[in-house]
Amino acid sequence: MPEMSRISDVRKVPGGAWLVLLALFALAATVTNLGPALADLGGSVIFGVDDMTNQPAVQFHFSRLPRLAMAFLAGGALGVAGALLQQILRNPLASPSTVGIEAGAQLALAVTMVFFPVLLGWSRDLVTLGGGSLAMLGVFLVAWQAGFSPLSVMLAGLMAGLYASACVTLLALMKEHYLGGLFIWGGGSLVQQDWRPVISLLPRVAGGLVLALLLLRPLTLLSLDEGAKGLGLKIAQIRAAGLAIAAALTGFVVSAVGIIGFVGLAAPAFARMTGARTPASRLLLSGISGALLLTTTDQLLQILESGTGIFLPTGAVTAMLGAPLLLVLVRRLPARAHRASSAEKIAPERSRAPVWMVAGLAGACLLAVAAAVLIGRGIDGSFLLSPFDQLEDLLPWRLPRTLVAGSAGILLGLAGVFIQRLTANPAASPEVLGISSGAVFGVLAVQFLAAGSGYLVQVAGASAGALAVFGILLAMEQRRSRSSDSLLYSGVALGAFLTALVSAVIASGDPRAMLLLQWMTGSTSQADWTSAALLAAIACAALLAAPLFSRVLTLLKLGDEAAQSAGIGLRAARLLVLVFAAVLTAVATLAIGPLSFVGLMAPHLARRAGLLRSLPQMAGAAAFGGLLMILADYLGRVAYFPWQLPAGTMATFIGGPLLVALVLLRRARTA
Amino acid sequence: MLLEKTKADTGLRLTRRSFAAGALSLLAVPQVLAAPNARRIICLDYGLAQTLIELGAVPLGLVNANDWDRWCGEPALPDSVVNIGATTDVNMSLLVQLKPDLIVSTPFLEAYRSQLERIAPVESFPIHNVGGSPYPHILAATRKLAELTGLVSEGEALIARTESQIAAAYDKVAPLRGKPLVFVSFLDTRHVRVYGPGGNYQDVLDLLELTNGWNGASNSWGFATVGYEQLPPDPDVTLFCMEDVPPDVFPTLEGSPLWNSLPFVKAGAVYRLPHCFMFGTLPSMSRFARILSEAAVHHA
Repeated sequence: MPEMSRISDVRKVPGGAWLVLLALFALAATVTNLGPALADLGGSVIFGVDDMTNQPAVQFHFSRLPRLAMAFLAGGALGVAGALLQQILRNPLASPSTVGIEAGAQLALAVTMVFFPVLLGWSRDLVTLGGGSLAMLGVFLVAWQAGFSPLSVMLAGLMAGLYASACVTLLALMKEHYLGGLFIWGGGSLVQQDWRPVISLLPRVAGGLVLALLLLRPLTLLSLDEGAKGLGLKIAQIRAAGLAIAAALTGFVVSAVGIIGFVGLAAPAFARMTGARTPASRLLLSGISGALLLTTTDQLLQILESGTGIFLPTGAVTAMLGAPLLLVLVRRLPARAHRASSAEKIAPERSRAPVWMVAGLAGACLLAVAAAVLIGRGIDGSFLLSPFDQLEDLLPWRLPRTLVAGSAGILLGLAGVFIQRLTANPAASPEVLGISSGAVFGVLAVQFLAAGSGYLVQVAGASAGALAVFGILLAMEQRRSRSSDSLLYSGVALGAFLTALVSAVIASGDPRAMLLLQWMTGSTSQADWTSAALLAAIACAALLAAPLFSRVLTLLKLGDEAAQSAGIGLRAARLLVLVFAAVLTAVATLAIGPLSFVGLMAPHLARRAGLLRSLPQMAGAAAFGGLLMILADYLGRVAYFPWQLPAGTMATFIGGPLLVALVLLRRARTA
Repeated sequence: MLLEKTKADTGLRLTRRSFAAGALSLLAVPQVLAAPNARRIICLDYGLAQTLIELGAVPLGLVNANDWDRWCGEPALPDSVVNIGATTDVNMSLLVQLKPDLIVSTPFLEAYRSQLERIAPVESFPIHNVGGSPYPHILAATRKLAELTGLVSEGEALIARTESQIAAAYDKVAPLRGKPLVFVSFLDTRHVRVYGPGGNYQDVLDLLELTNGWNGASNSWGFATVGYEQLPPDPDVTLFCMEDVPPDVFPTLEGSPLWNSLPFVKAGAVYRLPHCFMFGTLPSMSRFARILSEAAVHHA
């Protein structure tokens, strides 16, 4: 019944009305911002400035107008790129960031700034385009090995993006004085002082758009999947071409103004809401939506800046503005229309001895702990097997952080299994749900409201933030019984919102942001005996409690109908699993930050190892998660002595190739 | 005098924090007394390290020691100083092995204080981001460091030396006096950090009775991040760009109509100055005064 009334609700408001509304809003913001100056200077200032000593006129013509044009152009390009990616990958969570271009470009710029500043004088564009293309090529290479399936592209793209941003963060931590400009660029500032960037971007975007339109017919047929094969279309080549166009469009924008990622996610969603059904209309409407979204944000931001003097990079704010919008729009999605069609069809071989496999993993965890405690580095940097008399001094700095890392890994591994099974989406993870981002937001609030506050206050703040996000998710889940995809969607939106806020703070140049950055990368340096004991206890409790959910998870995975016929109250069961997973995630995030992605990797690793049923997969994911984090913390501590690379980031380094290798290995076996 | 006044100010403004600090320092008292003339000092801040080196109490370990030459440079960092990792993630295993008797830090790192205190007594020095001019805090920190290391006369000598160096610069910068001077660091081809009240630079400008041409807001660290078109369009302004200017900045700016229309660009009043650590202490201030007096020579 509620389903029916919702449909009629949708019919009452024609989709196009949303677009008109957005356009009016953009226009109003632009007129408010530029109108007064334009009235003063007269219309001729749009076309040129006669008197170069007339400062307001020069400002208007060479700064404010190109900024408007740039916002429109960049937003449009990102919208088109996003629509293209979502069409090809058939995943509404896909966005230009998903193929790793943005992060790759940012990494290239960071490396160049620190190590080869001369190259920047030569061409900043080439550096960012080179980095972005390399990251994308890596993604394609890996994805190609795995048949270029939507899932493999998503997975490889996600890993490439994580890799690149992990490297950038490490650079920023080690070379903190160098990279102020990088964060402005990373936040996506649209400030212009010249028409040249707009004029050089215009033909590139236009070219990309034309190529995208040419690809439309084959792409339309692709959505028929098997049908397309019958028509003799070369699926892989068409997909590769489409991805390349999307990547190029993103790359041009990134090179011109920096990372404005959320537009590429929000615009296609908005286009679908406005009723775009064919790929062609989706592409064009997505471009227009993107342009309008970015323009509105940027104009509003300028109004804010002139009123308060606060400088915020537009790209970071786009996400903050775009995320709530997306949340509203998601509620209008037809329940199953855009379910990610990425469930794997070929299951890995089931392990014959799951008990021994799990026991072996647990043993490996213990070995890793022993190594982490006993083998360290001396003042001169040499490796030392610490004699037991020195251990008394060193133990408090080695064992607690190892325990914290391991426990957090266990918690995230478990949470990952829960969430992937709950959503039946292998791209889901606790991190993706946005609960980790909520914790970040909480710590941020504490840092700026009560500077220099102690560890306990930070813990409280992070918990509050995580629970707030969780509460919102909960409320949305309660309001209607929906497909799990919409939950994921909302989580991504929330995560993007909070992450954007953080990058805006970092771009503001406040040196305190470095502390935040350090925690965000997953450093365990703050661990002491108390936190280690606490976390270990929670991990043990979670391990004991997890089997209770085993039956529910199995049934949820079989599908809603099976679960219902087995007598499980769907909503209650889902909520219970969600609460459990969220609490695990919040605790782990407090310890090792929001970015380890162990919650994504550990369940995958367990599956690849043949632990398929829910109970063995839980045990396996917990063990893999723990092992990954212990090794990550240890290596992070000794690999680049005396610097300590954060455990969360190191986990991404170690787990990433592992995951990719497993994807390829499996492919080779099944081929 | 100055020292006492500063303490009173801080106490009034930050009662909660100073209460906590007071409680912590009670715990630390026996250890501080055990080492009256600290020599094995770990330094978590470039600015404090500058002062320690000038005092002759070379720190045992310093954060980010390998980047010193590029960002601070002055005074020269002795080779004996051990690099102890990133400011925000000091290598504690290494710190334990170094066996320090004093750790000097800033309120910026207060969150790590309890951790550090498990290794050695911690002294924290509020200098920057205190909501006002850092100079009185720099003087107070210099005297306190001198006291902790038992080098009181060396501390007074450093203060006197700095004062005389700034006094010596006073006459040399006469050509710059009365003109609005704007100091920026280029972050990229579009954005600058412009320095205002609350920073090291402003203190030196005040002592030399020079005029800061930037009248806009600045944050509590003494700078603001703006697009360069927002720099004051005053034809009298002289713009000083602190190194390192990223290499693509000036090639890009040369072709920009907006940049070229800015009054100080048209007047050719744009100069590059050597880098000078902006979150520093007395050595940074005398360096900045010297840089200004050298700039004034070219300017005249």
